[in-house]
Formats: sequence, C-alpha cells, structure tokens
Amino acid sequence: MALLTINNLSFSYQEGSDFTLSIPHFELNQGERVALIGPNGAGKTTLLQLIALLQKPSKGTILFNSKEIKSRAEVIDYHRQTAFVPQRPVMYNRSVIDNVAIGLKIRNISPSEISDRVESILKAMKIAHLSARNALSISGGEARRVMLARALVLNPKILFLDEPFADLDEPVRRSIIEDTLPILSSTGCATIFVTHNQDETYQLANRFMVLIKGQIIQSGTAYEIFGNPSTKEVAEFIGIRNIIPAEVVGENEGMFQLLLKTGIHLWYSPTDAGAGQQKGNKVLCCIPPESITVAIDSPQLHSSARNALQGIIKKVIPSRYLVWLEIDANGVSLTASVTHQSVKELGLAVGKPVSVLLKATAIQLLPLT
Amino acid sequence: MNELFNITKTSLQVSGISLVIAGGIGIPAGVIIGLSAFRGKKWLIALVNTGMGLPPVLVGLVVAMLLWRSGPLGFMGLLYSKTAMVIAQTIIALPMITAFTIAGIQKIDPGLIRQTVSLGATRLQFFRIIIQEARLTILVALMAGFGSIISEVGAVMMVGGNIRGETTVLTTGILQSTRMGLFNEALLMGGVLLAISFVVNLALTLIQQKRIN
Repeated sequence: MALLTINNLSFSYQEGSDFTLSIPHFELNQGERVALIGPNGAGKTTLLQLIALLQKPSKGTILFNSKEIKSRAEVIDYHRQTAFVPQRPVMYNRSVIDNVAIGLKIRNISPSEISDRVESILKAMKIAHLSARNALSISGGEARRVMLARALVLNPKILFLDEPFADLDEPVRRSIIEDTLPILSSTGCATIFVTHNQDETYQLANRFMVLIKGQIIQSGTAYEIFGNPSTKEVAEFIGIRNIIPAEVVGENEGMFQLLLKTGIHLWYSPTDAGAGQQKGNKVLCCIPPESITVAIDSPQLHSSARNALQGIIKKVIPSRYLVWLEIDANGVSLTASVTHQSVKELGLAVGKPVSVLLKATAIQLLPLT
Repeated sequence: MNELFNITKTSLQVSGISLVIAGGIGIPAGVIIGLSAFRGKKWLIALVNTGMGLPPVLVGLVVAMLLWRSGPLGFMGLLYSKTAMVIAQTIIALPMITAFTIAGIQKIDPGLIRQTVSLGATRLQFFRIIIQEARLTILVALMAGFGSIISEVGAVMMVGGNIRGETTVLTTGILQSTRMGLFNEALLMGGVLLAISFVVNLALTLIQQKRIN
C-alpha cells in the first residue's frame, strides 16, 4: 500500500506561465527518497507545495494511507504527519530552540518530551551551541540546519524539501548532507525533494522524476534517467550538449549507420538488445561530451572507436574541473569535455585541427518528435 | 488635589477601557484583513487608513447625534456618560490600531505564514503565532491608539459634557480651567496628562525594546 497516492492532479497558474501542471498518477512508498528535477520554471516547487497541501490544486485527489484528504481537519492531520522545509530559510523571531520546538508545541507534546527531542536533534544537527540565540541573527548555513532540525524533530512520515541545500558553499552543503542523511535513513521517512544539484540527487535519492513544463516526462533510477534519457528535453536538461537530428540509413552486424546533416556518417551500436532501429527511422543522435575522445592528427591512428571525424577547435571554454571544446567536425558542431592537463599536453587551442573519436556504443538515440 | 485625582482616574478609566475594546476588535480585524485576499481589499485598507485621520470632534458629534434623546439610540440614555465617552474614543482608536496591525501582518514573510500552516497549526494556534510575530508593530499600534485618545478633547467634550465630578477628564479639565483663567490648574493637569502618556509609552516601549534585543 502506497503511503501517498496522487491521481489526476492539475494546477493552472494564474499568470506568468504558458502551461498547466498536470500529474496523472504518482505514488510514494515508505522509505522512498524521490528527487524532483527539471529546468527552472518547470513547476517543481509548485508540485511540491501541492503535494504538501500548501497550495490548492485545480483538480485531483490526494490519498494519504489510502484515505482521501478532504476536510480541514484532515488537512491539519496530514500537515501534522508531514514536514515541509521551504527553499528560503524562514525563522520565527524567537530563539533557535523555540524555532525548533514550535511544531511540537503545535502538536501539544508534553514539555518534557519536547525538551528531550529538541535537545537530541540540536545535537545531531550540530547546532546545540545556538540554542539561546535569536534565530534571525544566525548565518545562512546555520538557518538551514535549524529548518531541517525543525522538520526532523517532528518524526514526519513524509518530508518535503524544497532545495534544502541551495545557496550554500560546497563544504557547508556537504557537511549538512552528511549530518542529515543518517537521520533520514534511521527514521525511514519518505522524502520528496526538489534540487538543481546533481550531486545531491545521487547522494540523497533512490528515485528520480524529471518535470518539464508541468509534466513528468521520465521517472526512474539515476541510471535510467542520466544514462538513458527518454526525450530531447530530458537529454538537454541532464546536460547532453550534442543532440543532432539524424536518419538511420544502414545496418551491419548489429550496428546501425546514421546519416547526419552535411553528409557525416556515424556508426551506432545499441547497448540494449531491444533498442534496434530500422532503416529510414528519423532520430535524434545524443552524444555525451565526456564520451568524445579528442586526438591530435597523426598519420597512424588506431583505436577501437568506430567513428573518427576530422575537425577544428572553434572554442575553448574552461570550467573548474574540465575544459569544454566546441569542435566543427565537417559542419557538425560537437562539444567535448577534456581535462585541463590534456589541453596543456596536446596544446589544444582555437584553430587547432583535431581528430574526434567516438565509440558506437556511446551514442544514444531518441525518437525525433 | 482630590478633584485632580478623580479627573485623572476618569481619564484613565475612559481611555483605558476604550483602548482595550479597540484593541480587542482592531487587532483580530487587522490580522484577518492583513492575511486575507479578497476583492476590494485595497479599498478597505484605504478606508481604515482614512479613519486614522477622523477628527475627534466629528466623531463626538456623530455619536452625540446617535445618543441624544431624539436620536436612534436615545432610549439608552447614554449621552453625557462615561459609557458614551468610551464609545467615542473606541471609534477614534479603532482605525489606528487596525491599520497598524494590518501593516504589521503584511510585513510578515509569506514563507513564514506558509511554514506555520505546514506545521499543522489550528486556526487559533495560527493566529496566536502570527500575532506574536507581529507583536512589535502591534505594540506600536496600541501606543499610537492610546496617544490618540488620551490627548483628544473634541469627542469627550461632545458626548461627555465635561460634567464636574462625573465626566471631566484631563483634556476637558484643561480647557475648562483655561476658560476660567485658572492657568496653574490647567498646567498641572497638562503635566499629569504628559506624565501618564510618558509612563504608558515607557512601559510599552520597554516591552518592545526587550523583544527586539
């Protein structure tokens, strides 16, 4: 029996949006940690607030423990069995300890139990030293810890987190996640969280839902989403930069020949036996940047990669850990990611002729719609 | 001295009771208006804000017209009584307390309001928490409301009649003494009035500043 079931949920924005949020069916089971991911403006926060019953849907039903939530008393009861952590820290103008205890006081828990539970969670979240401080005077990272403590102290059946670690420095974010994860695991509470940070999703979630323009486009494990996006929008969202229209023009020993614009041919080898193509199929060819090998031209170049193109580097864009190379390969623009060391050793710079090597198994195909 | 004591007591009684009634109505009204979304809200708030500028003498005139023998409420026989003065001063203080409370509530972060709902607060718990968050502004509302009524003379003169030993308050007493050329008496009452105003505001300010700290 699912903990939470949503059927035919829809929400029409009053202004500022050109789509309606529409979720035909969603289930959340005990212990599940679901990450809601998607581009900005996809409706993630709205969906989270709708599921948390902080916004009223235009239509749809929400069942908690198989019971539909309708009356005001049922909504209050639902709120008392769940906890919501908003995106922006919100603090009551009182001490940290009172901020953490407020939910327990609302639930009319006895003062002695409140004291024990609050003391325990403050210690677990490493903010016991802030107990007496006014919550409006603490830092952003500390405020995030207080908000999480305020939610976790309630032992909720479902925890709703809206970008819980946004706007934090990397070390602070890592530290808070490290302190929060054991509590989530030990309580077994189901969690739905919205995040833009892919590292967070890998650490925290065991199921992913990609929301684009108010619709769940793909749902599954990390491997299913990031390794096998089902549409062009999902592929673009997860960072696949090379998405090129192509046509299947031939087959040879289980491999398919793709014809890209400008006459380039690529060999594609499906990793899934059931992902066979047919001649004439119009597809989108997705090439992850990290699967492209860039080599300096050499008279003898032997490699296992089935595809080898000649190109010229058009742009070099350094980032923190990698360098992005935009390469013009016979009229097709490809983006490859290489290390800073490779750029240095191979002298990769704008205008340099290079060979672009690509394994047939690295290509992913999506239907052209 | 005995008369000064009685006049002071009447002032405090009338203005004190008016403040309690106006606060009892104005604070919840301000919270409800501040939190609600409805058509005409801006117009209602504009009306409340306009009420802050109501001339006390006009309020007194209207209340007197309602309460005099030939008026709709004349049967109650309230004109020239402390009750009539309380009615008039409540009407004067109410818009000010309501307007300040609305402003205080609207200053509260909407995220905090949503968080309070998400914690499963009942209606009563919700109002208590929200009022506590707006407490500094509500204290200002009460200070402003008290200031507006303890120092007004027009309304209490109209509906109280400044009857010696009955409905004379500090402000009407000052007016009366001045007309009679008893300037020392008038200044003494003025001093007492200022002292009361200062003490009440000091008490409220200390509470406010303690909360801020």
